[in-house]
Amino acid sequence: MDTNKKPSLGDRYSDWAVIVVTLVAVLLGWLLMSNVQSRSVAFDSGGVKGQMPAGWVTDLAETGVVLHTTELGGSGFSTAYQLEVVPVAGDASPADVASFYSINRAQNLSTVRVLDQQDVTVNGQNGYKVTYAFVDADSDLTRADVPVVVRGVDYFFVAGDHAVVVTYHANEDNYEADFGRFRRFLESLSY
Amino acid sequence: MADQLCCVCGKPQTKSIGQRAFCDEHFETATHQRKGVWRSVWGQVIALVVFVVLVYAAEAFFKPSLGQTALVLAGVILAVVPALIWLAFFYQQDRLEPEPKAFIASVFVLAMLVAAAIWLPLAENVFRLSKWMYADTLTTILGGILIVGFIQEFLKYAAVRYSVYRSAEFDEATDGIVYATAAGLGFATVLNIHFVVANGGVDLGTGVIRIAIVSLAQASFAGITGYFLGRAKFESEPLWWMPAGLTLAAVLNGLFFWLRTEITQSTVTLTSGGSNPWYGLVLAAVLAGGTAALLAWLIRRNIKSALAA
Repeated sequence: MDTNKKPSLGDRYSDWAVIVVTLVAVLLGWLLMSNVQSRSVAFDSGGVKGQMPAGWVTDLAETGVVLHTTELGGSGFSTAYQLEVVPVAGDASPADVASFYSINRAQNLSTVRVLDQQDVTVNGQNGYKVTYAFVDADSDLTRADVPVVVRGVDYFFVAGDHAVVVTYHANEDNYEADFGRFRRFLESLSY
Repeated sequence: MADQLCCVCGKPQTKSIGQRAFCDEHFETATHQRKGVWRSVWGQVIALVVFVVLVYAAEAFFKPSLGQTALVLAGVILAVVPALIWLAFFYQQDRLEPEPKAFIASVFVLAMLVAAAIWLPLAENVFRLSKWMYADTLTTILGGILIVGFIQEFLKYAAVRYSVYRSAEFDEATDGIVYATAAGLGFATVLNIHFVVANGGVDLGTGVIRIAIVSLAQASFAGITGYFLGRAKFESEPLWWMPAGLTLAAVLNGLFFWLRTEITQSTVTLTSGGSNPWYGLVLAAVLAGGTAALLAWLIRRNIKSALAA
């Protein structure tokens, strides 16, 4: 049906132009998101150096913990990374340290379930990885939040007379999506 | 002239506006001033503000003690009220030449569907906005425009463009605004219901303010896109016209929600909380009223120039 004396470019390609402009905008938005999520700050704590996510909250609560950083904002369980440096016997392997931690974890977290454990190599350094899940209930009894399932992974490395334990905890819903960022954090570490 | 067909119904052309061909009937509708639409928009803004004040006052006076299920239910009912208010005003004002109820309802429901099936999963699972968008002011503004603004406005545009746009009922430039407003309110209804359900119910007083803000804002942004859509159907516009309309709506969307956050935040003291949502409602009412006034003026000016030509 000819409804125009002379169809303009807008008449013919307006739909496509809108789709292209929207896609370009969303692509730029995606790049912005990637840029924001890859922002990091250097840290040097307890003999361990690396790059941790920018804008996260850092606290040192426990003995041996050289870094504990938590994502700011959002609701529910916040994604967290932890770095621990512990003295070990000279002949201890990463798997030995992992065994000790597994017992400790089972004592502290009654709901913990180990999902997987295996040898790994990160940045050429041999280590051991334990993946697990547990139920996190807020210790504040006045809150009416439903407990959440948290997935975690510990990486164990031995360097001389000490072991470095790198921990990642995230709400089960965020675990996979946030793992890439943790991987970058893990690979930035030097000790 | 007779070899051209009316761009609305396909009958032989008798008149034209710019490059567009029209039959007598649709030339009449295309150049028709439809004041009822604007009265319904302003009526909605005023009625919504009154409604918010009443619910807020009732909540403060009676201090109802509702369980979680009741709070969710009350929140969902409140979330639907803005659309009902607009529909009531619209049909009351537009009764001489009403748009088919089925068409308005279809666009409303379609916008609800795209909001629930596309926008919410994108925002929460793909872009996971809450995890990065509030990192700093620039990120909030740019993310608000590029992701929130463009995707939301495109989905509302698509709900109109790929449904009623080609129908013979879409026979006035103002129809673009009418149907897009319906899409905006459908979109806002889902956003509000999702907010209520995700939070396990809301405080009725502050919840109703948020619901009104989201509804007025989403309807206003959609109205802007609708104006560009209406012009694109009834006048031959350049290639950049429709993308420019969508971009304008997206930019306003991003800026509005950043500005709302900025102005509703106040200092936390020992006796008061950290935000004052009333400022946000004032901003939304000004945005909705201002947008309606601007679009009414633009439509009137277009009709005048079309008739003069």
